[in-house]
Amino acid sequence: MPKFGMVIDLEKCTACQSCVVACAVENNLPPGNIDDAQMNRIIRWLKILPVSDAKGGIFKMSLVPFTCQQCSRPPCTYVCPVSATYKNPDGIVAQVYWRCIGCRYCVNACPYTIKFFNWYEPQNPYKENANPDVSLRERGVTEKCLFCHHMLQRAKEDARYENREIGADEYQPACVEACPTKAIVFGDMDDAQSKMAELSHSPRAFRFLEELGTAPNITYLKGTKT
Amino acid sequence: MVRRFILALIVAFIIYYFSIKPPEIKQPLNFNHKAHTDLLIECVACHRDAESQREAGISNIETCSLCHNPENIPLWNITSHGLKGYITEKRQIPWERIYRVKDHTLFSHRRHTGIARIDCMVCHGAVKEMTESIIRPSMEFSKQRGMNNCVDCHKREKVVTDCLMCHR
Repeated sequence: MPKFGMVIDLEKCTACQSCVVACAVENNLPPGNIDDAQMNRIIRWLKILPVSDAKGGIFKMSLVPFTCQQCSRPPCTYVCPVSATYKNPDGIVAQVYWRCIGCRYCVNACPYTIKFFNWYEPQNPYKENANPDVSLRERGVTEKCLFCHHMLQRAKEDARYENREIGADEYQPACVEACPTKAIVFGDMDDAQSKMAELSHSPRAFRFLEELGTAPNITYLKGTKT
Repeated sequence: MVRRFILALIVAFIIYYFSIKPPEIKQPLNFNHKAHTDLLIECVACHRDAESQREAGISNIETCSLCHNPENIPLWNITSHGLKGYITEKRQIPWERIYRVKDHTLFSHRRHTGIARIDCMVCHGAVKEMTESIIRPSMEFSKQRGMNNCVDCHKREKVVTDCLMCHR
């Protein structure tokens, strides 16, 4: 079984937000409005996180594409009372919307605060033109990045139908496909030959809040300015 | 007295519950499945995408007129009046959709028929014996049990039971 992970090179990333838009469109995210923003209810599975640092008296600001870290020991899954969120065999932290009861334990347990609660019914622009592979989440459920799991399903199905193995580039989430500078690399962590494995052992590599023991599967590569 | 009334109410509810049937759906034409399958025409001949796509698809006049065309005189003579009308006027037959999967479930025909090679009759029942159009879902398993039936079969056949593979 492959274990999927991601490497985001902050040196290459220009914070253009193409990934944010691609993710929102692919996964039928509600567009949100000013009122939502004021109440902190905007849903973006992938967002650009401003990280400020003031080491040595010099103030530095950097912009980091931030999404679900797909932890190997995800705290959100331990608190779910109905097993709506769990670690699936592909290494993706799954969320089954129809099973979720909206208790928001997982939203609070996530140290990265990257799980979102749906406060409203699915909003209009997507009702007619929604991506049919992804459901419109009802009001009162939690949602999160699934590494575009529907694309993995399609790739798996295509491969099995044609009686072959999945190609390395066949399954790429929407954010990876959209990145103009190729700052995001996606692949199988267990494949020692892949570009992923090479990059994740780079001396520039770091992971967010690794000290909590969540073992995130998204590796960041430090840029010269960050 | 009150106890008896409640009991009667419960009994009435149980009878009602077991007698509910899905609503009937009227089709524009009375399609005879048996007449076609007796001629050894495969399901995929008309439901063309059943093995290659997520949705099985339904044939329309383009497929019907491969056999039912005015040049094929013996067959044209026994073709129903309704179908003749659609074919000569080149109008699409407005078939009504019968089977709908809930929005949160992903059902792929290709996975089941194209990859796993399950016979259509396992889920759809004896459609081959039907002489009239399907007026309500005939799916054997959809009666009372829902997902249990999917999971039973998936466990028996030792295939994936990861929730995310079918729920999205």
